[in-house]
Amino acid sequence: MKLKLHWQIVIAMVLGLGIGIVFQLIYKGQPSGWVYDIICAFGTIFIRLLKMVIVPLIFTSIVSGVSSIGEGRSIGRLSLKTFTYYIVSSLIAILIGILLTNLVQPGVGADIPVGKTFSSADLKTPQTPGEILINMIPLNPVEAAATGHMLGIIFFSIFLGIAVTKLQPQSRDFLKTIFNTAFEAMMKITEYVIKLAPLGVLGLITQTASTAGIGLFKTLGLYMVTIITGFLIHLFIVLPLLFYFTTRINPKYHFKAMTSAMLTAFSTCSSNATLPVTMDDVEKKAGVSNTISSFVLPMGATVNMNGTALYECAGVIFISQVLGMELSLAQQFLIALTALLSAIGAAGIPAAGVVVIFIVTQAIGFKDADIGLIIGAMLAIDRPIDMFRTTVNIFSDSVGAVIIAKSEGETDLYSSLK
Amino acid sequence: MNNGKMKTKKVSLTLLIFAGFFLGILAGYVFGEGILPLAEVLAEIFLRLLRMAILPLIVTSIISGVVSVGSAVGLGRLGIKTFIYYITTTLMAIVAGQVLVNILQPGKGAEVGLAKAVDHVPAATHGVGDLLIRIIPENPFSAMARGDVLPVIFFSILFGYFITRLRESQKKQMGDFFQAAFDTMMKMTGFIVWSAPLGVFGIIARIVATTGFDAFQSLGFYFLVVLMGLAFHAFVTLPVLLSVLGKMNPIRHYKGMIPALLTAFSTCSTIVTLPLTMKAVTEHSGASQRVANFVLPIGATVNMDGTALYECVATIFIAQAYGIPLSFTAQLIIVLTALLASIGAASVPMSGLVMMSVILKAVGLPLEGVAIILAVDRILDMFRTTVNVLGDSCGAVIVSRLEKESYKEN
Repeated sequence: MKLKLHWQIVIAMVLGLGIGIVFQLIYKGQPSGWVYDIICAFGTIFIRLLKMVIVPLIFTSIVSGVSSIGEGRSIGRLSLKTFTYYIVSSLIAILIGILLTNLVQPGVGADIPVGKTFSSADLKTPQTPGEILINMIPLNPVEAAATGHMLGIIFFSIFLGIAVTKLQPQSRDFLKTIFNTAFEAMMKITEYVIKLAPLGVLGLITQTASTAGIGLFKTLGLYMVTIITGFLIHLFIVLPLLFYFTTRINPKYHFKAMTSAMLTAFSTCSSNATLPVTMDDVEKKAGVSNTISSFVLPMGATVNMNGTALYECAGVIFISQVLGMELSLAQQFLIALTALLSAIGAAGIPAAGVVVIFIVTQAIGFKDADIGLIIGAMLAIDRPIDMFRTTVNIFSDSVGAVIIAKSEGETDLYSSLK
Repeated sequence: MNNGKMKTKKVSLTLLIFAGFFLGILAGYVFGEGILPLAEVLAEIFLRLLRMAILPLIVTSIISGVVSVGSAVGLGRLGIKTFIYYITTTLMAIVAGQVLVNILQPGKGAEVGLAKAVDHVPAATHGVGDLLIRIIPENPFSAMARGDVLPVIFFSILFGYFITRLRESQKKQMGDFFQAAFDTMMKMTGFIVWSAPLGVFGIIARIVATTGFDAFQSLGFYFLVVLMGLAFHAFVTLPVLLSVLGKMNPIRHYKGMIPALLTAFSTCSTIVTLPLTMKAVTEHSGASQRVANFVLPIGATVNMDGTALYECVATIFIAQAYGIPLSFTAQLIIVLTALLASIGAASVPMSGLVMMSVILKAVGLPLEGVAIILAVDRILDMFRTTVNVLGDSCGAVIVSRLEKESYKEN
């Protein structure tokens, strides 16, 4: 195939958008028929294939990565750097969200159409950071793998990797070879799955474009524009700057390396499902060692959510503007803090964004019944926003992986692209 | 294996656990419910870590254990006789302990668990036949995911056995892999038991803060019951076997074993004692060198009469302390798990702690119970190791006799 993969994906997106718009026009947002079903099936198959790979990929990659942590590197230092990066980048994202929403004021005078009301009864309560830490320890690693309890798998794999390094050299090398080989095999599977990305993206984008609630776009348009602008600022200005100042590498290489992963994130709206692609890009194209990427990326996919944190803040302030409430500086600070902690605490909850928005509104004491209505409306246009949000999330993870790799003295970054 | 360094490590960890235990009592008494937030967190982290390690530990330890024993049994009559002797005596020890603890009921009246919702005791509702059928897992992975200990053990034993039936090169590869995997899990467990002092502190503080001292009042009684069981095994069961099957005067055998038994008592290690046992058995009791060389090393890792007896008594004691009635089926599960788990348990660090969690998990009893009995674990370890060594030595004499290789009278 002559055409590079990311160009194939871009073409699939445009095509999907076109087909989706046709369906949108014909069926008015409620498409059906076998042609539509088949096209959408491509998307579902692609996501299922990605999800199939995730658990064995994470397990083998972390064990083989951690067990080959060599001299001069320590798990403690890696964890410290990783979490510092998660917190710093999330804080910046939150600030962007707060500043932008306060400047643009998208909620002032917005007229919320009556739609589905969002009821707080459907919520799973996220955990406090302390509970998250304790619940990271899986009660049974096999069960964690069977139920896809990501943090549990990550914790057990890291622990197992450390234990492997403590063995006698002979057994250690024996096990390391086995885990490396298993990891290589999983990466091969991943590569094949990624080749199907264009078809999958076509299906996913078609589905999104044909079901998006266009009617709401008019009233909530300014809100969407504000938030997406925030995402773009974080994605194309802040993170590249952070990247440049810490690594002294031209960020364009990183964008080039991450194209497939970003496009996949954009169409799947799931950091976890994109994880195999992210790992493939970060290791094969950005040249980060498996040790670092297997440490930073899987954890990042569940814990580090820049886009989500930004969205939370902007969303809550938007709600307060719709309700005509003035938020004091202290309240805005509280929002930032709650958003930071709950973006971490929402790890693994589906549709985390909206759940966390609700939590944040509770934290600052909104009691108004209108909130359910506003959140319901926000939920209706959540999908397009989620596309950008996920892209920001995984891009930030990958930037973190490179920054940490650089700081650990890895040298052959981006050698395949230069 | 247990060189000097390991020993000091073991002792200081025991000391730390003791410290955790008594500080826990103190904190629970002084601060009352105020200590709960801290205690809960410490207890939770420790118990979660322990539970996390249990499954992979059982699987790898049993497979690697069965592979090494299975290769030996493959050696023919001698192997089979040894194996049957080990299984039978271990079973006798377990049953002795079980009968005693059920009659004397040392844990009755402690009532630690009234306030606590306890894991259901799963198999209690099923009959014995059903239990035996359920040992066969329909799907080994889902059995592991659900944490059904017995089916997992069953599958691991079969898996390990059929590894020994492979071609030599494949057998070596699989054996090496599971040995390395087991070593890895041992390293992991080694890390985890270092969190035991804090965990024990948390659990004990929680128990004292919520239910007072009831749990500890029966500890002395429990200690006595374990000793009685061990004494019964050492002074009734084994001597009878010796004189009937081994055609040997037990007193003479025991006299010769005194140095080995004293070493076992003070080191708590069957393997360190091995050379002394070997000497006593061949020189005083007239077992043949060939049999002793075969029976004793395997016995040191597989045959643990005292440990199995102890685990059985401890489990039922914990159930009594929590006021959980055990059905006949549940008791049978305890016997089976104690028996089967002892195959791989040999070199597991702090095996009193870790293997107890396996059995508690198999029956569905609360894992916290382990913390209560840890207070007397170290002292009981001395006694049960002595009984383990004694059981091995009797095995060497009896198997030797059965092989018609015994002594020229001296």
